[in-house]
Amino acid sequence: MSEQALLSVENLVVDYGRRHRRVQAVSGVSFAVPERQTLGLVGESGSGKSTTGRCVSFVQRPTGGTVRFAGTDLSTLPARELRRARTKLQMVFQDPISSLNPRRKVIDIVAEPLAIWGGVNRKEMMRRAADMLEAVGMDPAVTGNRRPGELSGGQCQRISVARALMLEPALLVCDEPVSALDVSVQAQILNLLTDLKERYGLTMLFIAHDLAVVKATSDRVAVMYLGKLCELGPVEDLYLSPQHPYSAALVDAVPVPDPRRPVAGPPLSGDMPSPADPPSGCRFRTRCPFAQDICAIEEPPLEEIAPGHLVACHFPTSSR
Amino acid sequence: MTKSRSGLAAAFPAATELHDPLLEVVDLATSFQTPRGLVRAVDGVSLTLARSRTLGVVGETGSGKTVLIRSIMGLLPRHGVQRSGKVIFAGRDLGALGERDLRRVWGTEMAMVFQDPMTALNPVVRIGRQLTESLRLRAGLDRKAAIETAVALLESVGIASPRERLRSYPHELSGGMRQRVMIAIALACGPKLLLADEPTTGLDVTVQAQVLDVLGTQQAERSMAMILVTHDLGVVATRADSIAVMYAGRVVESASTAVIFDSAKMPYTEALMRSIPRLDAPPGARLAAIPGRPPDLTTVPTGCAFAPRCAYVTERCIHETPPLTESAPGHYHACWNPVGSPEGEQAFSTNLAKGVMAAVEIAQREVRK
Amino acid sequence: MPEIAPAATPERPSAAVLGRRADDQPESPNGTRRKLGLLFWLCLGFIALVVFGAIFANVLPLPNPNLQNYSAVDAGPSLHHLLGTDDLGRDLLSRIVFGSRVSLVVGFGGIAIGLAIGGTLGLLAGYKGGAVDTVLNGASFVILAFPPLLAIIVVVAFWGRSLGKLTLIIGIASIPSLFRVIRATTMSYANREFVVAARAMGASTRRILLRELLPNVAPAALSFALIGVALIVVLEGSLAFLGLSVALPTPSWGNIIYEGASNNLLQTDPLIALWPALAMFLLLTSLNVVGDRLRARFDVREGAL
Repeated sequence: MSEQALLSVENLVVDYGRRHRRVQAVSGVSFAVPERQTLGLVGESGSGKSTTGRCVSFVQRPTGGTVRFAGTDLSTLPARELRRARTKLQMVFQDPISSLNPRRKVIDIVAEPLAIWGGVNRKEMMRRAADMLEAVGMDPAVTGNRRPGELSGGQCQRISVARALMLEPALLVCDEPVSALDVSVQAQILNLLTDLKERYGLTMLFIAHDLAVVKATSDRVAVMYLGKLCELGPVEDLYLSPQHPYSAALVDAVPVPDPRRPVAGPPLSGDMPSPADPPSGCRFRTRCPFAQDICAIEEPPLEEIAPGHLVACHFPTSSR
Repeated sequence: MTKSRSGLAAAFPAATELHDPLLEVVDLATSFQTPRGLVRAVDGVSLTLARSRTLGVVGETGSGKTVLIRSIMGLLPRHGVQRSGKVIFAGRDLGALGERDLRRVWGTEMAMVFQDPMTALNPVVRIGRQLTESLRLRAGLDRKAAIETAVALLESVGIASPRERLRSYPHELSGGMRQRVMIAIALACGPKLLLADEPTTGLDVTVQAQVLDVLGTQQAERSMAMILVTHDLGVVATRADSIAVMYAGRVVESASTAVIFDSAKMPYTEALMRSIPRLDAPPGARLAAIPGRPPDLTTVPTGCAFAPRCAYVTERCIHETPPLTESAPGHYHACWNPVGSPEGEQAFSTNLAKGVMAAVEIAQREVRK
Repeated sequence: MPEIAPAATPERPSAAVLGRRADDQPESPNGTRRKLGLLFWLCLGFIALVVFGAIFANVLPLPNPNLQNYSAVDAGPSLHHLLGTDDLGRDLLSRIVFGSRVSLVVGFGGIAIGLAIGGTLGLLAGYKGGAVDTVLNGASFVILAFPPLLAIIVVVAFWGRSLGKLTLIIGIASIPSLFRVIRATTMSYANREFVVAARAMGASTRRILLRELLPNVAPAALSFALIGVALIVVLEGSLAFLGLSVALPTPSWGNIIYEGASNNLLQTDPLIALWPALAMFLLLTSLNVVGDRLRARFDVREGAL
């Protein structure tokens, strides 16, 4: 499977800070995304999911490990070729307002990638930008000449998506693209991403903190906690029978729009420990209801418990 | 001691309490003068809230829900604002109170939890001082008693090692902890009414569940009334006794929570419910998004404001504004073609045939199921 | 693949069938802008008047500013001499108009030099960060540590005080302050996601600085620069008092005030010092108002109501 993967990440490590106050945001994460598939990456803030996304799209350099795109490790490319190769990996960010330059017109923002790479005249650029705006469901005649501040969050996010698609990327990294939006608008953007994925044959890495959002878009889901993967599997398996206690807590945390559902206690108690000083053994043990002595001593390896379903837990749900 | 008394009151509500709600909002309207024109942020809203009950106010960004609760509290800018209508809180008309008396009500009798705890907390003051300040000022406690109360408060909102936390600055806490500190500050003087404005937006789902839980338990223990404002119906489903759905500055449907979820009449409520991504939906299922976005409040169109996005829209909706009518006891809605009514069915099938986007979206979802 | 609807969910709902579209709110982009107001135009008018006078002083019907007319010494305002004359019988209006050349050249020229060098370095340091920022920032601190007036006095005293030299020295002295303002403003934008997005699209550093950052930094820089011009106009006045502005008898506002304040003239004929001081005050106020209003006007409101 990993042979034809468009994206493969091996043992990714990212450190922040200097000698004394070193914080490891990502500690040895490996996964692969086959072409035209979507991998959902789920975790709380501080889990290292956004950092992983930034390394995948080469916005940030990892401290260790490799990120292979279509079989090549991009970090080995010379600067000029890297700049060109990078256009195949685009990102959509969380904050719809901060991700657009407030002083530029919408049509120019969308046309900018073409302006950077040249090769087309201005008329053609504008035509293609207008087509792309149309493709993300906006009327170029109405919105093209506006500036981002005059638009709603959902509209800004559509423009971000349009801009990311202008260079015909193979991989789209979406970093919490709907977290800042109303539920009603969330659904619009999620549908849009699903449609565009089909239409342009995109491979996606979809980062979110909400499993329900990931479920609507992803084929497989990876769950991260404190810089490590705890579970990786097909989306259906993962929410029907989450094996890792942390995945189970994430499933429970999704608010269910049903007033008759009894209010359970909070799915997780306490706060995430500081990544500067992670717990020994299993990193989740301090908040885990099933933790035993061994969890503090030995770190559980990520093991395959069913075809394509990996878990890093000494006591996965099915064995309890 | 106070707990047992209010517990009794909850169990055997006095006759007066039944007829005398804690909060009564009558035809409240607030508009702002902006360079773009007059913004009618709240346009004739009436609500009642009984003691120790929770009201969920649900609406999209720009529906006026934040302005509504700020108007209820009287926390509006002094210039360029027009406010009319009545807010009666515990028997007093807040609109008639002066700045001095209002300040006495704020914090002690009604308190607010804001959406963004990072900007609501003072970044350069330790949280201990921010907590004890109001305790000493309003409740008149001395330093030692105030600290003890603060520790107890932090403990009650689920903050580990509260005594050490008193010495922290806001930026040293995680987002969820900051929000819990905000709640502790709001609870400090034992308010009768807590107004929570999107208290969990921007938090992780796990932390959201924790924060909502803290709010729920504290409310039950203190028999405090609460208005919970959110854009997510899923958040209020298990937390609110009744729900008011807002659109373009008006309440378009209100009923008890169970009724809203079982038999929503207003197409907007139905659409909001459908747009929630659910874990039990088949994988890759299309969400039923609401096309378009809320109207600009400077130019609210005539007729029903939701008409341009509605699956049940007819010619009448564009020309006549539907009034808020009571269709069943306690169930109010403002719609000409309610969901489930013959008019609604008729309008929907006509629109589907015409290819109206909203109707197509719904039909498509049904087909995929 | 979806059978009924087009691939992407149009945000424009087809309720347009019924004659209205949710997306087409008449939000005229001009309507959201703040008005500049009458005061702004008055102030801009005064600046334009001063600039016009300075440029066309030679062709305006003004007497030679250095012509000493002993038949009208210390004269009050009259039709002949609109603002009167000084103790040497020189026409004050003419001296003020010609003197404005010095103030304007030193002010705008100095700031232009400061912006060109300090602004460029500030953009670079604010965006690049790291070692580039550390070095440039450290250097700016070292330069700022010298009292600027003292440094200027020393240089002027040793190097000379022609208009060009004065402008150059003041320009160099303004570099660190402008550098710091622009660096700080740039930093507040450098980590925004639109800059990251531009990098991900393969934009060069030059392009990011010019296309993404400069338009956002420019309004704050412009506003600060106009206040900088005002400060330099005052600085010229201070230098004149120390006899370090352009050499007498060339008029400059500072020189005229200096002359008007010497020889007990302030008691006998306060108008000599008052006129240039008034001109200076009005120019300062105008520059401040214009800078402030322009910044407010170009402040983009991020996010709707």
